[in-house]
Amino acid sequence: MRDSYRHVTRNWWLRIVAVGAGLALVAAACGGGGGGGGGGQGAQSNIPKDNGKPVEGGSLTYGLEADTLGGFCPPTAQLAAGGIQVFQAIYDTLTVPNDKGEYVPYLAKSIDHNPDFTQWTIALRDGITFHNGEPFNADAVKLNLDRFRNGVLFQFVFPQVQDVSVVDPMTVRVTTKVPWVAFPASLWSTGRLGMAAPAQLNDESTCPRNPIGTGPFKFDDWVPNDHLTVSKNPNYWQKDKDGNQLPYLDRLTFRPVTDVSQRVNGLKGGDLDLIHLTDGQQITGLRNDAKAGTVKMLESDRAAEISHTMLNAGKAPFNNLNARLAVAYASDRNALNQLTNNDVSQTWDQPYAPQTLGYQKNVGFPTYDPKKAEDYVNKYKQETGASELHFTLDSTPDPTTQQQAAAIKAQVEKVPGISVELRPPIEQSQYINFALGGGDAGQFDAILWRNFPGGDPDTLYVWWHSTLPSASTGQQTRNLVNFGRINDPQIDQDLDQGRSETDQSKRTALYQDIGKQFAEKAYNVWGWLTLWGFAGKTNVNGFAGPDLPGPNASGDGGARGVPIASVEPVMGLWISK
Amino acid sequence: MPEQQPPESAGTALADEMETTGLVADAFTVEVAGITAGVEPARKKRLGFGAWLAIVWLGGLILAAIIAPILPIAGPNETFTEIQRGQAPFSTINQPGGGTTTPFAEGHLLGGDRNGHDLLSRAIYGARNSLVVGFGAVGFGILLGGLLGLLAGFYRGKIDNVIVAFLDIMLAIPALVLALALTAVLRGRVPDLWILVIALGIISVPILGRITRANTLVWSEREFVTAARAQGAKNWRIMTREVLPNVLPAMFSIALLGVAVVIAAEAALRLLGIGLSITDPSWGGIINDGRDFLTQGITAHIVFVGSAFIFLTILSLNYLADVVRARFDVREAAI
Amino acid sequence: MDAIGTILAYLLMALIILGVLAVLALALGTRMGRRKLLQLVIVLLVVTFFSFSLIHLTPGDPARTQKPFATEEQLKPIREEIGLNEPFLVQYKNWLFDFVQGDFGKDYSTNLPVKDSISKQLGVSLQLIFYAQILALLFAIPLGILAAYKAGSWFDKIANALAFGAIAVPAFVFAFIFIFYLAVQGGWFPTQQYVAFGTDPAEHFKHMFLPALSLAIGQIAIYMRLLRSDMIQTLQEDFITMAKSKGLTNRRILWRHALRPSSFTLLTAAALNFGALISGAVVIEFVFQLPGMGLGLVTAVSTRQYSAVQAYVALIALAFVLFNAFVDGLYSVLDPRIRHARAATA
Repeated sequence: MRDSYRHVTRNWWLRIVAVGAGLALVAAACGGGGGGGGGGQGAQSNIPKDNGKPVEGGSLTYGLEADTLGGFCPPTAQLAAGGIQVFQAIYDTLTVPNDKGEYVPYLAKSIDHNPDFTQWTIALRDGITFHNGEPFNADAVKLNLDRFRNGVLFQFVFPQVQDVSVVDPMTVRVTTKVPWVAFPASLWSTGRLGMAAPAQLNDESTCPRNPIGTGPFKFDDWVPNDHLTVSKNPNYWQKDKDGNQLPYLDRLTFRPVTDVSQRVNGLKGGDLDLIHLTDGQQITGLRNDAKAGTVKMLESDRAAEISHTMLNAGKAPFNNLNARLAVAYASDRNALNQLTNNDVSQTWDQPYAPQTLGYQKNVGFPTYDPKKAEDYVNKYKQETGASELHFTLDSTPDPTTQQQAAAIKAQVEKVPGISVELRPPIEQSQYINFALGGGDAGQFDAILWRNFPGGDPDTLYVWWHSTLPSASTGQQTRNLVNFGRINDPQIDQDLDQGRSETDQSKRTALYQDIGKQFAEKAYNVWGWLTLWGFAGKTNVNGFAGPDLPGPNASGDGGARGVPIASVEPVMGLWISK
Repeated sequence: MPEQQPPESAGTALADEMETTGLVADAFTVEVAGITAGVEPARKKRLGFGAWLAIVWLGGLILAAIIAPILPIAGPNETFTEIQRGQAPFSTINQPGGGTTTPFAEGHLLGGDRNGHDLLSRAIYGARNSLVVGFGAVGFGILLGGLLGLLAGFYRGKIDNVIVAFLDIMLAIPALVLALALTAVLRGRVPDLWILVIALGIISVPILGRITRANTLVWSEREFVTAARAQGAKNWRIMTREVLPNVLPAMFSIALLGVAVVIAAEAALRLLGIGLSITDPSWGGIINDGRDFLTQGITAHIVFVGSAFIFLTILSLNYLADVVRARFDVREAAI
Repeated sequence: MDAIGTILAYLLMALIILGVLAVLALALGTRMGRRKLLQLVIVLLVVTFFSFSLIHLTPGDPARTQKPFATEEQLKPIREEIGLNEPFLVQYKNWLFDFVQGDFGKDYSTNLPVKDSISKQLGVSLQLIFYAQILALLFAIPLGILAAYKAGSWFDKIANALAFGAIAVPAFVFAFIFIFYLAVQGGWFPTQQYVAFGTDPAEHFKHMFLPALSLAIGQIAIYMRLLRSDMIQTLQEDFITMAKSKGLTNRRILWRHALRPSSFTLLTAAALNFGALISGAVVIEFVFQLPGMGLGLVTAVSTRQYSAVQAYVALIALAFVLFNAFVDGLYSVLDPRIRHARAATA
């Protein structure tokens, strides 16, 4: 078994970098605003120093950007960044990425595959129990995976899973319809694929409000929009490198504070111990505080989501290539980034973060050129007979995103023949529904969007492929979560081949080709890499989490590295005296 | 001209109010009572210095709002890099990556906001929206409320009962609650500006309806009305020619207070994430956009600029309302 | 809900019942009373009808907006629950019956009955309004007395000018300033959140102080001016002159003799204001993240939970109307002036 453990890590194809996007459905819809990005490259070095050795005990209040109103039943939960943080406390996943971006077994002891990557054998760690005392075993995992496959969200991620079967009490086998080389990435799904106790899953009515996992903290109580409290799981299966029982904290309280300035106020005023945020302006301010030593802050844009303007290729005007190119050339993306994020984030030109396989320099995305934009507007007018290029732009109500929308309008309208109508903002909770709506054609022209957290590009299949096999009949049907209504045979083909391709260089080439397609066909006007800040009081430690569990489950699995995108491992937090 | 009324205390004013209108009173009544309570009953008939200041401020503001496009100021959505980076002279902040410009910087008299906008321009264009919402909503109130109040006070009896009940119903839902509910329903179908005008206008209707009714009740008892009736004048003519001119000062003074209340309500709604979009500046919007800077302790001027415009405008409106009341001997009991 | 919240909630309920009883008592006696009762019933019906119709004024399919991912099959039970299949007026009747029995429908974003959240939030809102009112009176009464006593002095002028100014500043501006200078920089108060009285009384008041103060300042100004104006008149009355001639101290005259007859307007205003502070509380709860009904309403609006919006609007309007009816009824029983006026008009 140890062999297979190494086998997995050594395998080249698992040297896939970073996040499995899984279903970033909700996080995706953050409208694009509030980027930031501490010059991403050096992100590793900014982990705040701990004040000595970990101390046990104490409690911590974590201010989140929103509550997860739909509750915490893994197969149905719609998790944004805040919900993912709660999941980190209560649930564990089968795999987890390490600091090199490899997917290593976590709740699993090992993960093996057959030679053609259509069968995945997941062996489980022994002796782990759920918070309610139920054993963590193959039956529980099968139940979880089956629920996910039929879940309202993950049905889009796992349509090509044929079957999940129990091999022996501690081993599960997943059979896929096609070779699926990056499958372990989907088993993490940005921390969303938490394993829940059968008792929780089997009672659908209480499932969202009664989370029972194997995680470092046990659920205590939840008052929606007010607080969610968890307390130490004394029987947790992980220890740290020095053999101390994890987690360190006795109690962890999550408080949703939707207003970012009130979140920062709460931190500075002492009501919150830790907060997370993406607002460039506030991060700038907190950087100064961190320099002055009054707060600690960890910044991460590793495998970050990419903020962009999504164009709807399903209907006029952006079903026309010239219209899309006109807008791409009319957008001064650097100026927009500077305006929205105060220069702290990196302007981006493709769907992959640097740590992601498929990333390439000079992908050839249009750069600001009003002359060319005008040419394409004229071509568009000739082709379609339209009198001008008019489109609507949708956004969320927060001030940063509103500002961004206004700036885009101002920019592109400088090109003669383009006009933009800013529509009333749509609340965060309705944003995805809005993008989903309107059937084949959709109901938006352009919309501010944030999605595609890095990691294996295979996890992006779900966002770009034009069709998915239907859960019931297996027939290929329109992919509902391809929000931009991209219907590009080349991209479809690359995605299908990439999913099953075992040769690394070929695989890289396939995904790089997708990056090029996005540049040539301008399905999205790229913006910047999103930066997450985690700011805490000076007595908060352990931002990056303890080392990963190896075979002995005691910090022997190598470093965890900086949090990926929005996922802060809360189990390692501790309070110094 | 109105005859001299015995000065009454605000106490009887409130009591009369409750008497004449029945079940529902509101914050507005209380606020009006609070403001009027400060007025000395016998006031000289000349406009004082304060009144002139208020008139100059409001007049200047309205003028600036109207001619904003030809004023030598930036566009409300124009962004300046030097503001964004806090690079303009006199700036107290000059840090890599962020900041803004404080007041009295060259070219930016009131400084800039976090998005690199010129605050003077935001405030003046904001005056357009804030005043349009304020006067629009109250104008709606004057038209509908005035008409209803006039009818109720003049005809009395059943018509009065029905109208008073109707006005009470409109008052039964607190202002912000009604605006929130209407926003939930109308957003996306009606322009945001209209939602605000409708929601806040609905609130002004009963306020103006009640003041008009109460004053109409008093004035239609007068000898000259009886005389006009005796001469065979039509009801409509008596209402518009004899009663209305006498009721107008009271309506006007309440309307001024109403505008003040509506402007504050718009700002509050903006804060709750409801109302106009960022490309439509308003004073409430300036405060909302500047909150972050207050939080960061970098500079508080953005919130203060927005608040100052609201403060000075409401103060002027309240003051003028007072003056109008004192000058025309508006019967306080009617408020 | 904690102790104070519960007490306040029961108090409010008791007051409302008293109000209804008072109106009923009046109704039995006079024509005026019957008219008022009829009016009250009509107002209540129309207000609840308006709240109910909200869901039908919304664009799109009400069931789908609540659960957008659901299939048509899954929406059926929701349609059933909201009762969208019935004729309009039947729906209203059903809704009203449920509403009166305390069934406010379901919040589909949390899958919880709306009643559960409201019952938690009610106490918080009542506490906020109650504390703001107490604070306002606590400051306004001495200030008003002093201003009247020293009418025309510099103190009076400054206090009056400040009060006039305070009315012109929206409560949330005070809230921001307090949060930044007193909570973040000063560190004397928490910046947000709610602590129940039962959990920790000291923390409870610490958390409620800034919200209540922000809400109270405008009221202090109004109340002060009301009291001052009535007090000035009272001080000119004969019995005050007589008390003076008896050699009573100024303090005694002001507090014992002059305050009571002068406070009628103030108390009326304060009573009427109770219901109306709701609007202010919505914003203050939002700014301080207090889990009250105001924050609940804002959340319901932004998550488009129409059943919840219906319930909030109807409940607030109901409480508002009935509370005012209570004040009205109470005063017509207590105050002879109103009784006389009524006798004259009736």
